[in-house]
Amino acid sequence: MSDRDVAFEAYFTARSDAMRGTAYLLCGDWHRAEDLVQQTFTKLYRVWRRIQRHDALDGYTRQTLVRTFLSERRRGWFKYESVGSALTDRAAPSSGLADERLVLLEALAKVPPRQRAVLVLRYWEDASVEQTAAMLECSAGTVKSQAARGLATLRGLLEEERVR
Amino acid sequence: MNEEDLNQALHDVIVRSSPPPSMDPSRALDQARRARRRRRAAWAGVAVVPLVVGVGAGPALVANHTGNRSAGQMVAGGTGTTQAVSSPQPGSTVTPTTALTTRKTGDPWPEGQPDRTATAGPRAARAVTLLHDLTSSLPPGFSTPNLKRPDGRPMKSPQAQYASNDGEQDYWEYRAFIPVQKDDRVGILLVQSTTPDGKPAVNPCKLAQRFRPETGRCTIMDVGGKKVGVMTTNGGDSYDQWAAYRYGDGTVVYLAQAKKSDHPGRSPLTQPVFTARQLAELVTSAKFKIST
Repeated sequence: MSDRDVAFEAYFTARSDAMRGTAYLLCGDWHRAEDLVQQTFTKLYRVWRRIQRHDALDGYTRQTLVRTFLSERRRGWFKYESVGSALTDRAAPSSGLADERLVLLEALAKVPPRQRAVLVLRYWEDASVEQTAAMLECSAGTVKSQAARGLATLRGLLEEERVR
Repeated sequence: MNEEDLNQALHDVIVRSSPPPSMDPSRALDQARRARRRRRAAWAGVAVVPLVVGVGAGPALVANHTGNRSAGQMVAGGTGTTQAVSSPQPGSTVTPTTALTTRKTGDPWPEGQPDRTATAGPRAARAVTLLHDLTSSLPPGFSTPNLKRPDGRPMKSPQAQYASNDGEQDYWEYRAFIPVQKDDRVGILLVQSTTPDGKPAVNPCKLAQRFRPETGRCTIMDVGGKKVGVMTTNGGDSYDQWAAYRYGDGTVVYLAQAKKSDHPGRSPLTQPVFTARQLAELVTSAKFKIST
């Protein structure tokens, strides 16, 4: 195995779980999350020699992941199967409590993809407004407004679920 | 739901959504290699056309396209023909941003972890010990079967996770979850010990209500002078009952039980594993207290 492959494999081992968690929040399904992670790392592999020593490799990887997600959405990757419906076949959570998780995931799935990406980056990845803007190639103002709208949408959906 | 609530909720979603086993790095590498080979082959085919028509113009185009771009951003090849197919590779047009492996405060996840969960080391070992201690607490007639979830992973599960949010002092949660069997029926038990989080003590029932947002009734029980909140729900999909106790140093322990396990094909228990009194006594047991 070449040095390149060894380094790539080591990086994948170290970071794929964390990236998969982020991907899961974006798409709501572990299988699709793994597909997203694989696509992301495949893209990284192509340019590995150039990026592997970069200080911000994690940021670059995360950026590639989010853009891949948005790109796939645009191409209709999720067109025929909603994120929410796929969850009904999921294994029971470790605590044995499915409902709260399902409610939030289903609500998150109904938030428009770009707003969802902002919410996940800001409140899961703890990315700053500026970092989120850089990853999504938009302005800081857009990130702020998308975050506010995303939170409002999520609140509304959760409230609907509560009174149902 | 505010920003902090969302952060906590997303955290809960990940923790409680039963992530599958880690992806295989060898397989990932193999797929990446294959994709790269396919891509190179495709580009090589496309490159034939400009090779034929662009022999004369090649050097000039190379000069134009290399401009400010680094050599690494060019498709491999290194001759004048490569510029004609020099559309940037996906991912190669973006500039790496600053590292994001930190929380809002700028701190990285503690102890070199890639995320909140400790999958190895002393914290992970403490969660395993907690699992064993919970298992050994079962009353006669009950056992903990080696059941598996539909994805093949065991239902018995220990977990250690960094639990503090931005602005909070560091604290950790240790959890152990086991299926509990009597005859052919299965329920569940969970114990959770949270290290001191620096927050003030609250009424035992308020403490109990923090465990899950369920409706029900709460009673305060006295266990040798220790005040324990015992919450009994109205039969929702959450746990049927749990006890909450906060030690003087701020360590909080929850012990929860449900007659229903969510395991397909297994009927719920006909009676709870513990009485409310037993639950209250057990939650104060020193073996469940993890303060660091």
